[in-house]
Amino acid sequence: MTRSTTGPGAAPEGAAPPPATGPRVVVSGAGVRYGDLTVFDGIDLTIQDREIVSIVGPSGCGKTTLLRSVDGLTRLNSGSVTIDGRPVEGPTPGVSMVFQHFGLFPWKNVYNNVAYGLKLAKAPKERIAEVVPEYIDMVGLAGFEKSYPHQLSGGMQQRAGLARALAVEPQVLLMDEPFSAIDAQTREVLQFELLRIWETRPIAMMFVTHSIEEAVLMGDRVVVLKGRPSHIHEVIDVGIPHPRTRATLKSARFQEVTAHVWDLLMQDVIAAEREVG
Amino acid sequence: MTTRRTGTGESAAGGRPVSAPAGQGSTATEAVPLPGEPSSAPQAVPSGRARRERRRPPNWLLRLLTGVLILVLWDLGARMLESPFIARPLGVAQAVPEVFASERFWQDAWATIGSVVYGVLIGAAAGLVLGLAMGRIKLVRWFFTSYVSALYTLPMVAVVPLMTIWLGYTPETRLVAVALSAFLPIVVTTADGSRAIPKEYLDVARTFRARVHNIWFGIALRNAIPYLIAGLQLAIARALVTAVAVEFLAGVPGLGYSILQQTRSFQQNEAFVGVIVLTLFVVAARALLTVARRRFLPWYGR
Repeated sequence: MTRSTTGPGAAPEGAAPPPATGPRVVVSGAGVRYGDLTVFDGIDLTIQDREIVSIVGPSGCGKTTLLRSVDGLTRLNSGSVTIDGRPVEGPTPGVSMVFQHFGLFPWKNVYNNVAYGLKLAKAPKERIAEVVPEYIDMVGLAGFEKSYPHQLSGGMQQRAGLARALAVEPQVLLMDEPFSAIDAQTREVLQFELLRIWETRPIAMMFVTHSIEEAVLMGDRVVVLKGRPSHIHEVIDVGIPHPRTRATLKSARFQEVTAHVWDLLMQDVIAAEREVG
Repeated sequence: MTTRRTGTGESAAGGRPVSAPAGQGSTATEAVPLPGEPSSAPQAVPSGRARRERRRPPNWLLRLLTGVLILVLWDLGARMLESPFIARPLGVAQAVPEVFASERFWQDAWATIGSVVYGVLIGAAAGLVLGLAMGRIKLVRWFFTSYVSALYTLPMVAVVPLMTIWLGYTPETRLVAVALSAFLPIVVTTADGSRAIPKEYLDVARTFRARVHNIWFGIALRNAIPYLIAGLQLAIARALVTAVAVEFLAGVPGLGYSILQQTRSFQQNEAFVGVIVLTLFVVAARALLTVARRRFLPWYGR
């Protein structure tokens, strides 16, 4: 069922040209079961360096589970994940995750939350003192180093979560619905800020979201998961160059891709409604 | 943050910072709407504190009045019973200077309170270790849970006579009994606190490849601190009960023992001073813990 298209309705693409930098993340034949329930199966996915791949799908399709298995937090029942050619058997150096729930420690202030990954990696003190302010500044939290998470808004907490993930300077950034717990206006601000940060230092990024617009805005490719057990239904090349701005949201291509993904997912929703009815 | 009580018209003050300039607050007081009358002009609404003071006496005054009421009822009840052996508030108050002047009283007070302080510290330290181990290691949990809960429900008073056989009629018996009665609530609460780590924290720790000791001391212990404080609140009260019980049952010198002796020699007023001092100690210790929690765990709420 997996096919790659250059656009809605376009014919399946031939072999992609070999990328300059090579694949960072290779997921092959991945499957996860909970007891009798197979969440997803036979997932093949490759993420190149400097590429953002969005994953969308209906609730419960296992997109977060897939992301967690790339992070080594969830074990696969079949198939494998490799990062830079090495099989993932647990959390891997060079891979960072930003969580939907922010996951900040309430007893640590912003500075210490951001420094957490570096401290666990036993980075030298001077390095921590140099890097942490840089990333706090990058996410726009300068001046809030000493604030505690409960003193910050959700958007600011997620900025800290992002800074913490970036501070270890990962090659792969995993985003687990990072903005879904944030109000709509702030979400849009953060989306563009994330794109801006990514543009200054592009790395491989896997972006799980349930928002179709977000998936298309962030992703170079959009992976649509569907079915039970879910599988990759379609991979869409978004084909909108970076830098992406607010104008991107109004562009014809953006509207076109968004509408296409909508159609793919709505078929399922309508079918599910009929089944229930 | 102000603690807002649902009162008449209170909602109108919603969202207004309490730290509004004093001048602004006092001028606005003139325009306070009548109770129950919603204000349509937000600028005319004074800060929550100013409004509450106008409408209702402050909390500490209400508490004081409750105390006075209890004393009055106590005195009336004692008068009605017409017994010379019942202490009355005025008699107790009159006994205070004399009792406080005696060196013996302070020696006794320190003996009892000191044993509670040290006993709770020892019990809490040991309880923290076992609690953390029970919270984080399944095997330890399986092994100890039933014993800990059995001991927790056992009144320590019941074991005191046995302890006097093992350790004699000594202050050490009191210390051990106190430490043991403080130990158990700490074990129970710390075990819960270090076990109930939110999954989010563990995800973050694992993503950054935390080792076991990072999770134990960096997360489990930190997460258990509010539970530990709750445990200490329980432990102090239980420890004092045990200390006094040991003094009663084993004749170990201390405030509890003095209270018993004075009661038996019809010095109820003096005995009552001792009771009040013990009560004040527990109240102060618990208040101190609450202050510590608010100061150091501000995210934990009130």
